[in-house]
Amino acid sequence: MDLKEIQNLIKFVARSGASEVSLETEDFKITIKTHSGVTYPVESVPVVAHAAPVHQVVEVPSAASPAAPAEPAKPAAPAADESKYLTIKSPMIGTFYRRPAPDKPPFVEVGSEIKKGQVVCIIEAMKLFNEIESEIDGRIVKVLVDDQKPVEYDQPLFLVEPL
Amino acid sequence: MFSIISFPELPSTNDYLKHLVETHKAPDNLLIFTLHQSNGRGQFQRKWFSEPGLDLAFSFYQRKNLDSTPFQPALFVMSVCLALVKTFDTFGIKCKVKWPNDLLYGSKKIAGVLLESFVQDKKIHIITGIGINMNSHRNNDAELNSISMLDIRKVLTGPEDVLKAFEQNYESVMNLFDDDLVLETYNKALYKLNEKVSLKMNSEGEWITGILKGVDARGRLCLKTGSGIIHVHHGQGSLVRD
Repeated sequence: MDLKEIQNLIKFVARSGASEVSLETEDFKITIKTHSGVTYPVESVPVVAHAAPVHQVVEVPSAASPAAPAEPAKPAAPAADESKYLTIKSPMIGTFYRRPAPDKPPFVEVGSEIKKGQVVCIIEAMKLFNEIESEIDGRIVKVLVDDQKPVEYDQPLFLVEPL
Repeated sequence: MFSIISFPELPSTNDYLKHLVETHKAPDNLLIFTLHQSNGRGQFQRKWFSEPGLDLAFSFYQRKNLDSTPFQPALFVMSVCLALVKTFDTFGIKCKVKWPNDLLYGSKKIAGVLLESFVQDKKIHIITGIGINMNSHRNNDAELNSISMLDIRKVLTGPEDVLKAFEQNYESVMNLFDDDLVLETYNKALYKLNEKVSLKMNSEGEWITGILKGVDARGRLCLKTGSGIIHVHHGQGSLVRD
């Protein structure tokens, strides 16, 4: 259990209204006690039993993101002849951009040779434009996501033949 | 949390910090600031105007490991905006956030955010730049459509006080707010929430009008239109101010 998880657990217990929670596993034991009269410095929010990774404010019409899979696609399981290929995956949730700007050519095309450290795409959310660099030398075999489509964490973006 | 260095003058705090990061000279949580940013810029190289000696520009650098927990860029941007809303609040200034990251007082801009980042070796390196209209007079300049802390408070504000308040609020949002709370609080601070708004779409000068229902965890604007609820991400269109 790392610090972040412990922090989250403390927050959870504080909000739940419980006065004491003990948790014991093989590796550790933790007891969290809350004191009445101590105000938790966070506004009250409903306790979510199972936090989903993505919270929508309103319902998403299915037409809004036809390409977005409900679950991130499994990166593995390529066909036998594709087993030599590697994938470049999205390090975060966001929108996939193949071009640096709408009037510019794509960073890479199918067949492009790429070097480690070369920018292959941008994942953007709310004006935070993240340049994604390749971690390998290789050749782009397939672009797995359409331009400007939403992507999930760990979703494969490119199929690459290592060179 | 921040290591702070001040400069008498810089062309752009973001550009300078970016240079330090790229040449491996910037430690995590380095913050640089100046009261004289001579060539500030916003998104797409738009000029960010600041009055020499009077307005505050600062940028800070953070890197985050992408291996341990999934990074949600939209929630990071929202957290920065919330820290700013709370910072202004400590000076008695009630601001709203115009999606995605402009700070408005009424319908006038009081602060702007410019975020730049890259992912390298499973780490995201983020440079957050913030420009605050602090001690310049803005009220008479209709063209800039901006306002300053001085215009509102009628007294001068010290840059150290602003930075200190920002640091405290940023730390509190980052450490105490979980994803749900960031999203909820950001939505509460949203400019034009539940009001009729116009979006200027990037495709062929198209406009969309609807009721602004909020922003989702992906950072998309949710708009209730005659044909249902649509989600717009930043690359598709922008919200128009009054």
